[in-house]
Amino acid sequence: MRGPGRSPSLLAVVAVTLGLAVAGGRAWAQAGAAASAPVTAADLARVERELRDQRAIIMQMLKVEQERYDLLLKLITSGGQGTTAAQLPALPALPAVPGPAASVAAPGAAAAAAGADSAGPGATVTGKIIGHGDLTNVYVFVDGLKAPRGHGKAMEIGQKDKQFVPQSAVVVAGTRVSFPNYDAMYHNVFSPSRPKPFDLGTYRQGDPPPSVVLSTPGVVEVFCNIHAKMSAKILVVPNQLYARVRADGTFHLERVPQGKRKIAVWGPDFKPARQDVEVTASGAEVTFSLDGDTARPHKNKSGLPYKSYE
Amino acid sequence: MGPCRFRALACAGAIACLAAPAGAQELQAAPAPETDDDKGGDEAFADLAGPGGQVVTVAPGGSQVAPAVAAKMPFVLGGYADIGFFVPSGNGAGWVQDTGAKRAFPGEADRFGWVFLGDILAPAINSRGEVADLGDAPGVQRFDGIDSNGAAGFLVNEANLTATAGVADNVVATTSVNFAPRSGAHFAAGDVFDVDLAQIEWLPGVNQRTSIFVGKMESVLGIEYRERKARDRFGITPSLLARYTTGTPIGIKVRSKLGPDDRLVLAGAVTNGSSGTEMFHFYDEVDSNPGKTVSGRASFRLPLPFDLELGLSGLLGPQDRALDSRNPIWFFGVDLLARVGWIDIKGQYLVGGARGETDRRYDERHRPYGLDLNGGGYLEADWMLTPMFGVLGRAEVRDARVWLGDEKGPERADRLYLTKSWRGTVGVRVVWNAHMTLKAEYLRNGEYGGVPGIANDVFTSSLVWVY
Repeated sequence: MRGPGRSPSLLAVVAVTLGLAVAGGRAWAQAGAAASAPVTAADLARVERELRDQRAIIMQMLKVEQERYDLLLKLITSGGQGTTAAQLPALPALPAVPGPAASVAAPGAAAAAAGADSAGPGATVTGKIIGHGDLTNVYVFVDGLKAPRGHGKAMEIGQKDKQFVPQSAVVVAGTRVSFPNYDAMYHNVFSPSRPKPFDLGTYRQGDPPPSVVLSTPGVVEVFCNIHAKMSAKILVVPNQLYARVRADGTFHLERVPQGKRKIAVWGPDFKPARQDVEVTASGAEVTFSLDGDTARPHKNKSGLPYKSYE
Repeated sequence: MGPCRFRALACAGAIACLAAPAGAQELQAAPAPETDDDKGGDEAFADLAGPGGQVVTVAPGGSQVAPAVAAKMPFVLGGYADIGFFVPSGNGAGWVQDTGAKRAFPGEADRFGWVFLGDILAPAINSRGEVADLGDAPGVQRFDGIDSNGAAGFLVNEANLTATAGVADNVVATTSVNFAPRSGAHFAAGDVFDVDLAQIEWLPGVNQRTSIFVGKMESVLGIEYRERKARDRFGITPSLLARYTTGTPIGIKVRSKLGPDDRLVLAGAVTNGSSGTEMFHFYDEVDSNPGKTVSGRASFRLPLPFDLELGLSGLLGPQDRALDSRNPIWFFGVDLLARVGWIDIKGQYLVGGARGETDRRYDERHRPYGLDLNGGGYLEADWMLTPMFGVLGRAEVRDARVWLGDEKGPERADRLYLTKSWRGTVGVRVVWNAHMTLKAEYLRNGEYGGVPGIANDVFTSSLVWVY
C-alpha cells in the first residue's frame, strides 16, 4: 500500500539519523576496544571534524525539508496551479551509510534502487485494460523489480459472516497479514498457494489473530478448511510500484525506472497477464486484454474435496 | 515394581510433564501464531515468462497451487469420542401398554393383540438416537443395549474412527466406523461395532459441482443427515423424525449444484432399502426383495440478505425386510435451513406410509412394519451467544401408527404403536476449544390426542472429543 503521508525526504532524514546512530555506536565500540590506547589530539580533531560535517548535513536536510514543506503548502493552497513536481528542491547528496538504515526505503525510492538499468529519473507508464467484467479490483504493477521488502507493513483480512473481508488485497512483499476471526464460529485459515503455503490452525472470535508474513511475490489464495465457500486472494507485489485500475480501465503507473520493464496486471476475477515494455524518459503506454478466470473448486487443507453439501 | 514397569512409568511421567504445559497453553490464551519466511524472489508472475514484448497470460488450468500439496494423495485419519451422562424419568422407556378396563383406545384392542402408546424413541439420550430403556414389551426381543431401568448413568455413547483418502485427484474414499460399548444379555456380547459409511465420491468435470457416490452413504431425505453425528450436531439428541432420514443405505447417489452461486441443488439416489434407522434392531443392509428404493431432494437457496435454503425431498421403494416389492414405503417432506444473524434455524416436516403385512404374511425374519406417518416435524434454533457458549431450542411433533401384522385380516394383528407425541428440547453447548465440546439437553416429552401422559422426560449430557 502506498503511504501518501510519508515524505521521501523525511525518510531520508530518518535514514541518516539511523546511520549516524550506527556510526556512533561503532565508534563507541571502537573506543571501548581501544580504551587502553591513549587518545591523541589528532583523534579528537578528527571526531570534531566528523561531528561538524554531520551537523552540517543534518541542518542542510532540515532546511531542504522546510523548503519542500513550504512548497507543498503552496501547492495545496493554490490547488496545484502553476507549480510542478520538478520545482521541488532536490535532496542533498547523502554520505554512504552502512547498516540497517540502507534498507529503509521510501515509496518510489525502491524503484530507483532497483536495477542497474534504471537510467535516469522515473517515468510514467499509462495504459488501458480491456476486459469483460468488474475492473474495480484490478491492479497494475512492475514485476521483477528488486526492491527492499516491506518490513513493518501490516494489513488485516478478517473473517465475518463466513466470508473473508476483504476478499482481495494487494500487499508489498514483506507485509504481515493477520487473519482475525469476527464470527461466532471456528475458522481454519490456510493457503496451498506456491508463494506461501500456510495453515493457521483452528481458532475463533477473541483468539489472538494469527498472522503470516508474505515475502514472496505472487498470488496467495486463502481458504477456510471448514467453510468451502470462503476464499480470498492476495496479490503480493515485489515493490511499491503498483496502481489500481480506474473503473474505465485506464491506469497511471508513476516513477517507473527507465529501461526494459515487466508490466503486469492482476485482478481476482481475471487471468493475470504481463508485458515487457521499454520505458523511456517520456514514459510508455501499454494495453492489456484480460481473460476472465472462472473460479475453480478448491480442496481442503488435506488436499481433499469438501463435503459436497457445504 | 520391575525395572521395565518403572521405566514405563518414568516415561509416562515425563510425557505427562511435557504434555501438561502444552495442553494448558492451548486452553488459555495462546499467543497468536505467525509464520514468516524471507526467501522470496522478485517476480510475482514468473510463470508468465514469454518472448519479450509479447502479451502472455496464464494457460487455462494454470495454477498457483503448490505442486507438493496438489500432487499427493492425501490420507486423513480422524474421529471422535462421545461420553455422556443421562438422567431418565420413570422406567426410562417412552411408551406404556394400553391395557385393562381403562383402555385409552379400546377400538384398537379389537384389531391388535397388543397396543402400546407413546414413542419408543422419545427418551433419546445420545446422538445415535438410543433411548434410556426400551422397556419390556411382551412378545418381542429387542437389543436393549442401555437398559437403564430408569437409573441415571454414564455412557460411552460412541467412539468413531473416520478415514478419508484421495484415490485420485477427484475421487475420495471415506469410511466411518462406530464403536459403542453396550450391555450384553443372555451371554451375548452387547458391544456394537458398525460401519456407518463406506463410500467413494467421484467429482467429475472441471467445476466439480457434481458428486457421484457409491457405497454405504448418507441419505438424501431431509436435512438432518448432515449433522447426524455427535461431532457435527449442535445439540445431542436427534429429532423424532431422524429414524426415517438419517440411516446410511447402500447404493449409488448423485448430487449436483446448479445455477449461479450453486443456488439449486439436486440429489437423487438408488439404494437398498430406505434411509430408516432404529437402534434397537440391526440395520437392513442388504435387500431381501428385488426392487430398489429411489429417493431425491431438490433445494433452492433464496437470494435474500440472509441464508435461506428450502428443500423438497421424497423416497419410494419396497418395504425394508419384505420378501417382495409389492407394497411400497414412501416419504415426502419439506425442509428449511436458515441463518439469521448468529442464529441457525432448521425445520423439517415429513409424511409417509407403508402397508406392512396388510393382505399378506411373511416369515418371522422378514416381517415389515406398517406405517402411517400422519405428520411429523420439528423446528430448531441454535444460537451461539458467545464464541464459547450457545443455546438451542427445539419443538417437534409426531403423529404416527406403526403396526406388525395384517390389521385388516380376519384375525387380530400382532401389535400397534400409537404415537401422538410432542417434544420440547432446550440445551446448552459449551465449546472449550476446537477439539472439546460439552453439551447438555433436557427433553420434555408430552402426549396428546387421548394418549395418557408418560413419564419419559430425559436430561442428558455429552462430552465430545474430536481428534
